[in-house]
Parts: sequence; C-alpha cells; structure tokens
Amino acid sequence: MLTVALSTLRSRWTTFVTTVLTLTLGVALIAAAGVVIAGTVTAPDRPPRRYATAPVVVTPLDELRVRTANGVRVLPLAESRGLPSEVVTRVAELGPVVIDRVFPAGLAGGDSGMVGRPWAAARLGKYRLVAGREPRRTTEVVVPDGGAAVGATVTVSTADETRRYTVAGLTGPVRFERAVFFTDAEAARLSPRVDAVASRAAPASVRASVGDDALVSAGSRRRALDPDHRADTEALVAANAVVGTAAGVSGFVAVFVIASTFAYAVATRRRELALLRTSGATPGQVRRSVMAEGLLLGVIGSAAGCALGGPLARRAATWLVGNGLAPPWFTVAHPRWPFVVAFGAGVLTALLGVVAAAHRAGRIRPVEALRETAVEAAPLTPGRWLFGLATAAGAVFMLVEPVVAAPAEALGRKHYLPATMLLLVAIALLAPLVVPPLARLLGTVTGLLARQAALTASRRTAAMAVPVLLTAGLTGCVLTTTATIDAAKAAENGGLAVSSDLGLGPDAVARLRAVPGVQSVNVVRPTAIYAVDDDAAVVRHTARAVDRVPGVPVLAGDPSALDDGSIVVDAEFGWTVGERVQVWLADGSPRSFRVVAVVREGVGGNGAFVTGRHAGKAVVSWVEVDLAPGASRAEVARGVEVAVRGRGEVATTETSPPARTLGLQVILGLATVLAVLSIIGTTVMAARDRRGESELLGLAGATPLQVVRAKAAEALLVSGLGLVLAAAATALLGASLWVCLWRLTGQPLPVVVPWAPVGSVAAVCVGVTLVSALGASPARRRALGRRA
Amino acid sequence: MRAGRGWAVLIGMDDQAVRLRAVTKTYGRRSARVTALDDVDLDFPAGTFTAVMGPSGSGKSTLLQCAAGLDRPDRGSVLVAGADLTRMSETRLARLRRDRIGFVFQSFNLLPTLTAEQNVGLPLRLAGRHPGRAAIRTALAQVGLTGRERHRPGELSGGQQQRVAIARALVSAPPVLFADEPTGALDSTSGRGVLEMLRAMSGRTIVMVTHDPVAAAYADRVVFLVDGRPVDELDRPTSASVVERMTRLVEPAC
Repeated sequence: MLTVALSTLRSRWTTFVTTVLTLTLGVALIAAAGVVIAGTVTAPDRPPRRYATAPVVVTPLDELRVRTANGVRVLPLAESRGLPSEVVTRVAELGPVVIDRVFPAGLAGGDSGMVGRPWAAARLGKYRLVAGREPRRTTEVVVPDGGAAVGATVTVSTADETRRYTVAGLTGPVRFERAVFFTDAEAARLSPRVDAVASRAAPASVRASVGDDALVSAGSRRRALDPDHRADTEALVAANAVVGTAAGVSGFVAVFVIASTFAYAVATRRRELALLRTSGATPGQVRRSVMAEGLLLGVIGSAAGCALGGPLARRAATWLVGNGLAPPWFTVAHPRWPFVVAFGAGVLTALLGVVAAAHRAGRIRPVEALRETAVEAAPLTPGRWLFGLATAAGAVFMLVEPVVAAPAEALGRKHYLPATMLLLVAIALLAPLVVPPLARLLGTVTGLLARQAALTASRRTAAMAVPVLLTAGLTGCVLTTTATIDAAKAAENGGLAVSSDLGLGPDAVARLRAVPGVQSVNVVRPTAIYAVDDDAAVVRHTARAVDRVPGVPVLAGDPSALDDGSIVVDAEFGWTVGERVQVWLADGSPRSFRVVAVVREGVGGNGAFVTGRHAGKAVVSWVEVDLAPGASRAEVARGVEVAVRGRGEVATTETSPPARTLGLQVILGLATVLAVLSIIGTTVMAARDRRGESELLGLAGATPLQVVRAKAAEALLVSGLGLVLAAAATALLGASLWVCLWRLTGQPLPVVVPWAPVGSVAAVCVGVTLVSALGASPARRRALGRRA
Repeated sequence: MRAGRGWAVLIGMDDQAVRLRAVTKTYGRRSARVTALDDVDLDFPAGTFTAVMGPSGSGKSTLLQCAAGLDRPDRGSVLVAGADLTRMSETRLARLRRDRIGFVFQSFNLLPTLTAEQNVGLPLRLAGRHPGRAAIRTALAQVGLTGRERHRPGELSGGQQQRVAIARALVSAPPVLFADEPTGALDSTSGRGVLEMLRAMSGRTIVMVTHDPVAAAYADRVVFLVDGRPVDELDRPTSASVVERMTRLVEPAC
C-alpha cells in the first residue's frame, strides 16, 4: 500500500507541494510562537533595582477586602493609601530607616512620566552623582544628567504647585526611572504620604513587628516594587497575546487549507481511487493509503517547520523588542518542548485534515471507475450538512448573542476573532449550496463555458473559491470590525480635550477657561470604584470624577443632578435610578451613593461618574474643552496648546494602541500568505485535473486564445464567488456590530470598511487565482509531466 | 465455518460459476429513471466462455458490473462460487474480487502512475502477498510483453495496455474472468490477439460483454439482452449466425 501512496506522491508532487509548504509555515509559526511564549513565561528574574541596596522594604498593603457570599475577596487598590505612621514608627524602632516617597514631578522641558523622590532614597537604587552635590536646601534639587547644568534654575511642577529650584547636582542614568530628587523635608512637604520604608533590620523581625498591616519585601521579591516591573509584566503578557493569537490564527488557517486541499485531492482522484478498488483494494486499504499520504506529508512538513522555527523565533523576538511589544532585555532560549508540540500539532493537523477525505475515499465504489464522466451527484454529504449546520448555528449564536445580551462583548478581540473564524468555516462548508445560484448570476458576465463548468461541479467550484473566501473574509471581517470600533471611539471623543500625565493644576485649568472661543471646560479625573456584583464578586469599574457628566447617552434619570452624595453609572452595573448603593473609592474608603442616572455603556465602557470630591489623589489628567458656537476648532486648539504648554498636550481622538494594530497586521499577513499558497495549490490541481477538458475545447474548434479566455473567465468566476461569500461574511459581522454599537451608544454609527487594505487583499486573491489558472496551462503541464 | 459452508454449497450445487437471480437495477430518480436490469435470471456454467450482446443501453455493462460485484443491484441476488455478493460488506466483496474474479475493461483502467510490472502486481500486493518478480514476468511474457515491464501505461499502445490489463487479471489465477468490451478500443489485429488469448484460457469461466459479432463468435455461447432482459441465446455461435440473430432482435424495435 505504501508503494501506491509513494508513487502517487511522486507523480502528483505539484499537488502536494503547497500542502507541505502550508504545513511547514504553520508548524514553523507554532514552534516559533511556542519558543517566544516560553521566553515570556520563563523570563529571567531581573534583580531588584529601586531598592537594590535595602535589605528589607516595607510598603503599604493597598488592598481592598470585602466579605461576599463566596468569602472574603481581595483586590489591589487603584490608589495607594500610603503607610500608616504607626507602622513607620514600629519599623523605625528596629533600627535606622530610609523613608521613600514617590510622586509625579514634571521638569519643564523634561520627559513625561518623571517622579519626585527624597534624596535619602537615591542611594537605595545605586544612583550616583556625576556632577555637583546632594540637595541641602529646600530650594535645591538633583536632576538627571543631560538637561540643565549645575547651578541652573529649573521649573518643577507637582500635583498641587509649580516652583523654581536650583540644580545642585546631576545623577547618572538608571534604567528604571527618571527622578528629580528633593531634600527629604521638601519631599515630605510636597507628598506627605509615605510610599516605602527601607530598613537594615532582619526581615523576620520586621515581619514580626509589622504583622498584617503592611507588605514586607526582601530578596528577589523587592523586584516587584520596581517601577518597570509592572510595565515589563504587562509587555510580556501583551507579547504573549499577539504571538498566541498569531499561532491560533495560523493553526486555524493551516487546518482549513490542508483539509480543503486533501478533500479536493480526493474529489479529483475519485476515478483513480475507484480503479484501485476494482483492482481489489478494500475500502480500508484505500482509506489507509490516503491516510498514509497525509501522514507522510505531515511528517515532512512538520520536520521542515521545526527546522525553520528556531530562526523564526529569534527574528520574532527581535521584532517584538524593536516594536516595543516586549521589554528591551527580552530574548528567547532554546527549550525543546515547543518543537515537540509543534511537530505533534503539525502531524495531527495533517491527519485531521485528511481524515474526512480518507473516510470519503473509502466509500468510493469500484463502479465509479467505469463511468466516464465525473459529474457530481449530491452537492453536500450528510456529514458536511451536519458540520455546516452546526458551525452555522454557532456563528449565528456568536453574532446574535451579544446583540441581545451583552453588546460590549462584541468589541473584544476574544469575541470577534472566533466569531469570524466560525462564520467563515460555516460559509465554506455550506458554500456548494449557494454556488449554483451565485454562479448563474455571475455567469451572465463570464459566459456559458465558465458558468456550466462551475455549475456541473459545485463542490469543486466551492473548493476553489474557499481559499479566496478565507483570505478575503478574514481580512474583511477583522479590519472592518477594528475600523468600525475605532471610528465609534473617535466619534465619542469628538470634542477637543487636553491630556496630561502630570496633571493640570488649578492655574492651568483657569488659563484654559480663558482661551478665546472656549465656552466651558470639564475637568475629568480618572479614578476607579469597586462594587459588589451579585453578592459574589468584587468588581473594579473605571470611574471619572467630573465637574459635570459629559454628553453621554442617558437611559434613565438626570445626570445633571449629580452631587457629592450621588453617582451616575452605565448599564453594565445593572442598577436602577433612585437605588442606594454601597461602593468603595479608589483608595478603598467605603461610600454610600444614590443612583441619579443610568447611561449607556458606550464603546469602551462609560463606567461610573462621581463628583470631584471623590477623586482622591488622582490628578487632573483629562480636560474636555467645549467650543463656543462659531469658534474655530483649529484656533481654539492652538490657544489651548499655549495655555497648557509643558503640562499637557491636546488630544483629539483616542486611537488604537500601536501594539494591537501591528499585531493584527502581522496576523492577517501570515493568514494571507498561507491562504495564497492554498489558492495556488487548488487552482493548479484543478487545472491539471481538467486539462483533458481544455484539450476537448481545442478539438471542438476553439482557438488557443479562446481556451485561455475560457480559463480566465472561469478563474474570475471562481474568485468572484469567493469574494461574494467573503463580503457576505463581512456584512453579517458588520450588521451584528452595528446593532451592538447602536445599543451601546444609542446612535446609528456607520460601519467602516477600510477599502484600501481589504481591496488590495481581494485584488491579490483574484490575481493569484488568475495567474495560477493560466500558468498551469495544459501545454506546459504536459511538458512537465513528461519530464517527470 | 464460512469457508466450509461455501464449499458445501459449491459441491452441492451444479457447476454454475455465476448465478443471477431476479436481479433488478435502476438508475436515476423519478422522471429520469432508467431500468438497466429488469428481473434477470441468468447462469454462467463453470469453465465456459459466454458473450453478452445487445444494443446500446440494453443493460449489458450493468449486468457485468452487478455479476462481478462492482455494483450492487437494487433487488435480487448474485452468487459467485455459491457466495451471495449482494449480502457482503464492501471489504469482503473487495477480498472476494481480489481472489476469485478477474477483470478486463474496454478502457484498460490501469493506474497511470504505476509501471506495467507494478500494475500487474497490484492485486497481489493489495492482498498482502509479495508479488514474485518471476510470476509477474511470466504473466507479462504470456501476453507477449517481455521487455516492457518498466513502462508506464502512457508509454504503451492500446493493445499493449489491454494485454497488461489481462496479465493483471490473470496474475492471481481467478476462476472467473469478466471482460467489458475488451476489444472496443483496439484495432482488429490487436483485438484478435486479445480474443485468442481469452479463448485459450481453458478451464476458466469467462463472461464477455461485446457488441462486435466477430468477438462474440469466439465464445461458447451468446446471450442476447434487450431492455434489461435476456431474450435469446445461441450456442456455438459464428459471426454470421450472431449477425443474423442480432438483426432479428433489433428490427422489431425500429
């Protein structure tokens, strides 16, 4: 039997090259993704930095403990409460301590995100002076080298004030932060809150003294206190997500492509397999022969993929670092398991792809070898019906469920990617049903020959259209979804706004109000509130402390009635107007509010609104600016920019984070490459298996040009079918999204199709189909066949 | 057990190698329905050479396919060496065909990817036996194809391909051989060679479908089929008597 499988592979190598290539690429991607994920999971422990020389560091617990029906729930607080003074006293009793405070401090002309700290804490983080000396007077500061010189005067802005200081010294660069150092007394005045206490006492005695009132870190645990630790962790999680999604999508495309290639290969080889049956092969032998082919290709492709995986992983790591998707120190090691997993996944994929085809091959009756024509009987086998309807039901559920239940879900990648895949699989499986009417419709353009060819073999036509559907559908669905969500977000934040990392002081807000053309400003402080959900979980919600609730769509109540004892929430909370609710503020202090209004969820979740009194220590990081009627937006924007120079920047819309966009582009690019391979594979296979037909056409009196035209027309018809189906998938997903956005925002927002990328992918699909159909012309294929 | 019963049946029965009982086969659905075989009862005695003749569409190919277990009739039973093909699973049917039935087709039906040698050895290979090179060479030599063992079907003439097909049909020494228009695609000289080869296989049961009176004259007996029913028989035919009988059968229909 192996001889038969081998000789089939040898003589039909063109057919299988694309399968092997697809598998190689897919396995390489999965192996590389595994290596990168292994790298993110087993990222080496970085040594502690901010408190490198302090043996023990005591920090506030900063957690909210709430008793629910499911026991006590613990959540980290959004805003630190600082160390209680009696804890500081207790630690100080054990030996000498260094008190650290960390607070936003903006140096005019310096970077954003700088912090202010007391000089005493500098030596804990191995800061060294490269010029000058430490600050001795309250008007002196030490700043990072590279800006102002020693003796110069600098302007430093903190949460509540802006002051001028003299530069006493300069520090060499450190990798974890950019800090302005004040005298200990000045730092205590600017930020009374104690953020950390470093001690030289034994960790055990500090723990005994502090008990459960604060967090005691020693050894490598001190790394968690570094400012870049959380950013690194988040970056690694993000890199993980991008790489994981890429592996998932490429795995999906690979299974799809291999399954359809094998299904098609078996369909075109019915006669050959029937011949085997007339020669005395049992159904099991035919099945095993097809399975053996799949296994052989799977092993070859997987081995090649594993060989490519290592270099690919190193490149991916460099790329992730280069695009800021992973921390600069990120590298990959060479674990063995991703290769074992990828190899197994590759072989399994090939077997999964081939199992249905092999089953069908086993059911071929020997008598089929004796019938001359290869006209297909039923367009759909019962199994295909079953899977098609099951996936269609799943896709419909995923499209309808968010519309009726939770519209915000539809905006998440974890929802729309699986929904897209399910929808495309369903359409691909059921495609033979819609091929005849569609082909009749499109066939009026492409002419009789192409139409009849498509009609008499709806399954073959569907098999050829599926790769086009997959490529164009994936691109259309995903890009349309993201573009529509981005556009909706932009529409929500349509007004002029100022964003500021450092926070805008009262003086800056006053300057903003005075800008000509500004009707009013709304000061927004992002904060958080905690609420108990169903008496089972404590949920952190985004909240905004505002002067007045901005123009969000109202479902019930009156947002303008918001006062210090009330709250406005979005529909996600599930509360009703007039209800009295128990919440916790960002620093964990409990409050009881009356709900005065319920608003729509909006695109990114509107969350809750409270008055400025409940903002806690949050700085004014967002100010919405309303224009007076008739004022020029551009002019006001310029005036605003002058008013907040050095403290903030004008923000107009919130755009997608670059990581997500980049990641998506890469994922779609990979999917396109895989699908293009599959288009070439199926088209070449089809052309080869039907060369007899074009020879007949020639015998019937068609000139070579007419034969080429007929082939081109058929290629256009087939890719046109794929595009129409892809457009249908995009329309379905877009419709579901449209309804969800309408429910979230209360207004009909347009569905945005990014025509440039979607159009070019569609053009690539049509072009590739056309070129491979014409390239596999009978004359050339015959010549090749003879040489082989 | 099963083999024992098979033998008992074989011994107990008169020496009919193939029996068709009330075999009916229709194609198509509703309006496009065609009755290819209509309640056919037919016996093919062991060791005889029978030709099946009839006009186009009379069901002669369907008769052969059903008798050989390539296709399943809608009703009725087909007994080959006493075993009922219509009650067998596809796998058992394939094994039976492999061991007891040989085929020769009008369109040769060789696997294009295999060499002449490999094509001949295929049934043995499928049966899990290693085809001895000598046996295959002998089979090819018997049909006059020494020196062509490593050629693929595309590199052989029609007559040569048909002889490879005959060698393949005979390599497992089946007691029954079915041939569907074996000379249909051949010129008269090659055709005569093939027919003489069939004629010389004494001791085998051969059933051959043909529309050529000259070919039919090589058989011991001719069965005439019209509209899916056997209507006439002729023993020890000559091409003249076959032509005369055919004309009589077809004329009333015109």
